[in-house]
Amino acid sequence: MLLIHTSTQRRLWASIGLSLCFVGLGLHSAGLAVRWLESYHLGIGHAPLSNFYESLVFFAWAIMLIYLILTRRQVRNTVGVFVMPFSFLLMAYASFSPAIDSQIKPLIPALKSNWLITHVITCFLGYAGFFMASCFGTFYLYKERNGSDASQIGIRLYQSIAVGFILFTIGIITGSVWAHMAWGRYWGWDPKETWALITWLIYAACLHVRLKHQVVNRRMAVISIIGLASVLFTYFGVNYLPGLHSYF
Amino acid sequence: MLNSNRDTGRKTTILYRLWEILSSLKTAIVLLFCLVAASILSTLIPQLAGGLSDGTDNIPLIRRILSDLKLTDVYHSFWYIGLAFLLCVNLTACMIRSARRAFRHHGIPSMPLSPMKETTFTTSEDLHEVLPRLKETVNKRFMVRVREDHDSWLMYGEKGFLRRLAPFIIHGSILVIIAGVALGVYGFNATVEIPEGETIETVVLKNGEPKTLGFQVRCDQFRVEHYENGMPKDFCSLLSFFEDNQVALQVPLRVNHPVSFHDIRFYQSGYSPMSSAWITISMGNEILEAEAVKPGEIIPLNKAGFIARLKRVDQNLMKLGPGIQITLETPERLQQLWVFKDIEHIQAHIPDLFAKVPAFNPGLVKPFTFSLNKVETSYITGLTASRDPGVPVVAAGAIFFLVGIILIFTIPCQRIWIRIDSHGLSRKISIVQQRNDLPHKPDKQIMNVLYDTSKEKP
Repeated sequence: MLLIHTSTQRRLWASIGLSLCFVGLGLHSAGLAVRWLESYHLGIGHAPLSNFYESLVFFAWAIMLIYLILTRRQVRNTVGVFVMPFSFLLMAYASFSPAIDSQIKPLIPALKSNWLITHVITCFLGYAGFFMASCFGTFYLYKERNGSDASQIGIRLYQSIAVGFILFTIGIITGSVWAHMAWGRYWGWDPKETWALITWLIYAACLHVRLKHQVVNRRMAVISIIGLASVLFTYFGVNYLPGLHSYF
Repeated sequence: MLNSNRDTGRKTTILYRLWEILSSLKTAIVLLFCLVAASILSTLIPQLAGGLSDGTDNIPLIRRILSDLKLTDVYHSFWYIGLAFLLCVNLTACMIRSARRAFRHHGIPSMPLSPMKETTFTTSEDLHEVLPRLKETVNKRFMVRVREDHDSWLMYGEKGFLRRLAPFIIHGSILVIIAGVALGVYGFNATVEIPEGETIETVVLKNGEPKTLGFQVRCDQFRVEHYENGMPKDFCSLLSFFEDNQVALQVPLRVNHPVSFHDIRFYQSGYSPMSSAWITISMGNEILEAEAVKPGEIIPLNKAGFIARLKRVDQNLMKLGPGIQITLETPERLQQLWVFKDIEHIQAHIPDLFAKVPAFNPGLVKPFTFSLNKVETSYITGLTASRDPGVPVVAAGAIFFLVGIILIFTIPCQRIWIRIDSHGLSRKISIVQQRNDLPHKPDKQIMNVLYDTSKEKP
């Protein structure tokens, strides 16, 4: 719908598309809640955040939430053309990949902690913020190349990085606290921990680029897109490296 | 003129240039990306703490090159530590530079000058009439300071001072975190395995060296619960800590719930089952009993030239019930035997069992006949013991960092400069407003006062 709106500029399509987004987010939220409740009915009882399937579903939800919160009317319709397919692909991968087990499984003792909820939620909301930043970064470069005013997109880019950075920092801190409670060390250079730090450093550098130039510029947009590669490796790539955080 | 020459001279000195580089934002960005690159390498190249050991001539050349470049132990390498040190120096230098800039001129910073940012008015009104009205209006929203210089007045207003402190809080907290990490060198992290019912006094450090705790720890009991699929559901060790041979503390230890004793924290990290077997060995009229034999231990046979070693104990070996695997060395050969507790029951179900699988025959090697009386499973609890004096420092740094970034992203810092210059009978009023150091449209109420004053629009 949003793609049709982008082509035709008819507000009806945007309204329908956006309504579907909100309805979808509502149903998605309900789905997460139902899965949480169902785990209690099975005698297991944990938040739907503990395995690869649940993390994919939650990531898709987080992206939609951050997208709807951070964007305003004109930008929302256009950026939505990039955001929806990615969220859809995450859900499709989770639902249809034969390698992913969607069963509600009991938690191993190491995961039985209240820190699981805080750590995972903040990390994935941070990922979602960075993903939105990459979308805005791409859009910024497109507008700049066409000679259009990209200042509003620049503001959204900065805001999404700020939101992602705060949440991701809380995610790293809560992860360190949990690691200290569970394993006796707050940092062990686990591949997941190291790549989380790499992602954090990239966005810290991005914020300093903005500070140096006083405005959002092309460099910041490019770094936000590179940062997405780091985010994706932090989430997916480290599973192929040995470590405590591996889903595989 | 003389001062200008002195300033110009100072700016060309090596020290000044070095200071400029060390305190520059560009340096910070470069260092951050260098650390990113180094960290990426550390995840892609297998890391060995301490690098390759001596006498490794058989190691492939590429691995030796990586080791010589310290890429196989990045976090302890001189260049990684050097990068981190440079970042600390850069952070400190940036903070000093920012502080000097922020708190110069007795708290009134210079008015940023740019035709694009500055809005100007002219008025013929008396200064003493204009100023109080302006000050009253600006005071409603900003904290105001006024400085008078000959024929000009500079009024400076600021709101959201906390936001200006935020960069210092953030960068200072990073230095605090790094200091806390450095303090961790004076601590230790070790592991220990305690069989149920046994006591230990030493733990094993990461480098393999033993460390004496100074007190004893006994695992009184270990309990594990399983889910239906066999996965561990929960496990817990009941530990007793001894001082002067007296139990000073008895406490259960569970995963995610560490226990402290004498400023050493113990963590439940894992466990392993430990099975032992009660075996009877018949040699004609002679009967030998071996009790609680564990895997790897010798089963006494009292016959020269014959050595039996228990290799494996299982409550359900090959799904045939309790069983053990024995390696029997005879003068002629090495023989593997599998001895089951319920061998008669198994034989009843599988005819010609011994013909099909001779190794299942407990009397295969003469003159010995083995029989398994019982198998008992106990557990070895795996603990981590650590002491890190830097943890409170790191925690404090992390909290301040969080406070700092929340301040910097949520509280806007607004500043306003209003300068009134007298030129004969007329006054020129310049106004510049900033929000988070970026140009911002001047406040409407203040502009209205200035419009009224000038009776003309800019």
